[in-house]
Amino acid sequence: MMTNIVGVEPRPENLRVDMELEVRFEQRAGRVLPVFAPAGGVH
Amino acid sequence: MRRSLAAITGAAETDLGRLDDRSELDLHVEAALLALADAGLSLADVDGVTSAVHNPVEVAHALGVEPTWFDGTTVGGTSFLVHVRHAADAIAAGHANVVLVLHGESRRSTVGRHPRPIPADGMMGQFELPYGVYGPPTMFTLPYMRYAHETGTTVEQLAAVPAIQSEWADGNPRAARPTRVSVDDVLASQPIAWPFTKLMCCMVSDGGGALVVTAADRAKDGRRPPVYLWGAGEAGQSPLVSQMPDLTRAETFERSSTAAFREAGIAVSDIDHLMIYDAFAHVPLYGLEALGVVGRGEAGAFIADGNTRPGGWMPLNTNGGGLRYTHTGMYGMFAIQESVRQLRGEAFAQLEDVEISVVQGVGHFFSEAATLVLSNQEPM
Repeated sequence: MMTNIVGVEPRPENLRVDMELEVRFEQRAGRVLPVFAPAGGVH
Repeated sequence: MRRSLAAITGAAETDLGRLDDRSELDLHVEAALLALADAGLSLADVDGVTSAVHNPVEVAHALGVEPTWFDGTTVGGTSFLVHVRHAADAIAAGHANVVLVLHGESRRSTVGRHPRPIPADGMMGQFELPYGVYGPPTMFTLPYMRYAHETGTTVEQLAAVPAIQSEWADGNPRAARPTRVSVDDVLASQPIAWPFTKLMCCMVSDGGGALVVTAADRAKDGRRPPVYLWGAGEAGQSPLVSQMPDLTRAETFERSSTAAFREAGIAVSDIDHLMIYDAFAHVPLYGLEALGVVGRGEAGAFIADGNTRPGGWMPLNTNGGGLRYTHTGMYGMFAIQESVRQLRGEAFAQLEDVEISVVQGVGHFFSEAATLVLSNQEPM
């Protein structure tokens, strides 16, 4: 699915293929969207 | 082999680049008149018209043509490959005799450019756009991260795609980027969407192109050497790049090329010249693997090692491609035009002994695909 990775600086070295993630839910423009953050908090 | 052979008997491009004095409709009309003159035919001969985005009847009306057959299939940049296939079938069915396949786009100057809205209640509007992606640079490039991870393709190999294509466009006065660039130049250009830099992305230009398609027996009497359609295929999958079943394979390319090669009765070893729609540098990598030119994960090294450059055994994107020649937004027309030029012996970077040319088109972000097998020889 298309989504956003949150809770981490958007730099290539922080966004690795196959990294473990956990879901978060964000309110945007009156809707709730599922987004994902690195599992276990900010790495 | 197709049950009834069709041929491209006229082909032409308009001026390219920044054309702020011409609307998109003007570009369609200008291209049509140039291609008809090339074919030695007149508007009175035309009974079929195709166009993408613009209603083909609107375009026909601008030309003063009342068509008996038309096709407005709009599936992104591969639309014109699809139109050639459909036109050949329409001619075989007796629905038309002389078809104009038309393209005109004012992507850069946006003169008379119809809006291309993405509906908020469509699939992309609901499930992808809310995350901030919009348009090709941030969508088409995403699958490449998985591809590079699984295949070990390096960013230097990705940068070799535009670098080597720049050798083909070197000095071509019609090319938007007519100079050679190195892998280092490509890597040093402005970052666009990691790991893609500006020179790994097509440029944005204005321009038009047109093809005249007729029955093959009629083509022999034309004023230009016929380019026969030996085989064609098309394939569709998901409208969403995120829903590709396998992010590392262009399955639509596999399906359309398999159908086209089967119809034409050819194998990869028969291909003398190849065009793979290159909106971004990774698309030729996916294409080479999907068409079976190389095995999985081998395309980056294949290009970086020089196999597709001038003198290489699989000449690829010999006009410089969308990365170096032109890209009006729907580039497929220009890929076909370069195949026609090569098969007629009139390309800027002309190859020797070209008999079979393959054009691989892509619509949107691997959503649709079409393949044409073209030849200057009548099939045996």
